[in-house]
Amino acid sequence: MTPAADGFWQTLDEGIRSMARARIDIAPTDVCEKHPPSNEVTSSLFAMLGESALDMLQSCGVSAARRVADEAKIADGTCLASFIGFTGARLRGCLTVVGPRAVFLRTHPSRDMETPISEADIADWCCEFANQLLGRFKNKLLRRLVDIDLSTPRGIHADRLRLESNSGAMVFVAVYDVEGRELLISLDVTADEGLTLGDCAPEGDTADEGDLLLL
Amino acid sequence: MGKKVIVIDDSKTIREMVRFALERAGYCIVEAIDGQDGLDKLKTVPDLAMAIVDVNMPNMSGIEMLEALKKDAIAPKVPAIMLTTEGAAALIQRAKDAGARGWMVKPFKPDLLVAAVGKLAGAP
Repeated sequence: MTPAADGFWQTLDEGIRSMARARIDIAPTDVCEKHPPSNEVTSSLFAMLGESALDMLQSCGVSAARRVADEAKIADGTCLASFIGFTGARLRGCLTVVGPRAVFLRTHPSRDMETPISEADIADWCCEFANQLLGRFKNKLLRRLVDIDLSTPRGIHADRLRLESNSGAMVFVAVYDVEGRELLISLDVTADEGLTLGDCAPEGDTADEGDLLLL
Repeated sequence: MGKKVIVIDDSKTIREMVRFALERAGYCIVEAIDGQDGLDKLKTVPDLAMAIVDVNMPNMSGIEMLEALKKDAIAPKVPAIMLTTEGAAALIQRAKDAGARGWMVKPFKPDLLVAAVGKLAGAP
């Protein structure tokens, strides 16, 4: 193993150990107060993510409503979390989705089928959920002439999670009530000062969810 | 036995949703977990009639996979539909240049997928 690779694994190992030690309930209010949306652009980004989340949940066949963040608290018990990064010329960050197993079981695409859904299936869906949510966010950004490249999602199981950002990034945290259970969605985003959003392009310039184009 | 369709996606959930839709229509399914696995199987599994391909995957993206296939003179040419969360016009053009015949944005409508496969690969 090269020294660089060795350092990478050591850093990753420390990160995992640090996560394993964490045991505090998620406190989105603290996070939001630490890094409030600073300007119109950031507010627009967060609004787009909020719309994307509601669209996503609706497409999963569940009724959901956004809660005021400071009323939110993730209950104890095993949660699933997924993470997916993105980067662009003037915008980069990471999307995190956290929720109890029941939320991902309820929203799973196979929920109405007779085939059993395994724990691995639910964990995989948690990752795919983040992937599709970030895809929706990206497609909204494209209409505002901002392009980002998406990474691939990763997921974890954990008994209790503490969500924190020390990166100096803006952090958007929203909690959704999904039929009585809480789903937390967080966006860490760093935007260059020069980032501007274009006027909303008409639909048709990008392909939308559910579209089929024959090439 | 129906025509063989390969589904290349790092999400097991998506592979199973595609399998469910296409098997019900009479197609046989082969699965691959990323672009590299898909490339290997496209070269070795005989008689593949169609490929359903994700874009963002570990190891090799779906578009990189199609570009590698296009450069390989002896690899079989299988029509491909990209199935992805992405909707950017530039990416769609790049996929088209690499040989993709269709582009679907997740979440997909199973009936629409079956119709597209029927149009490009023929009836099962």
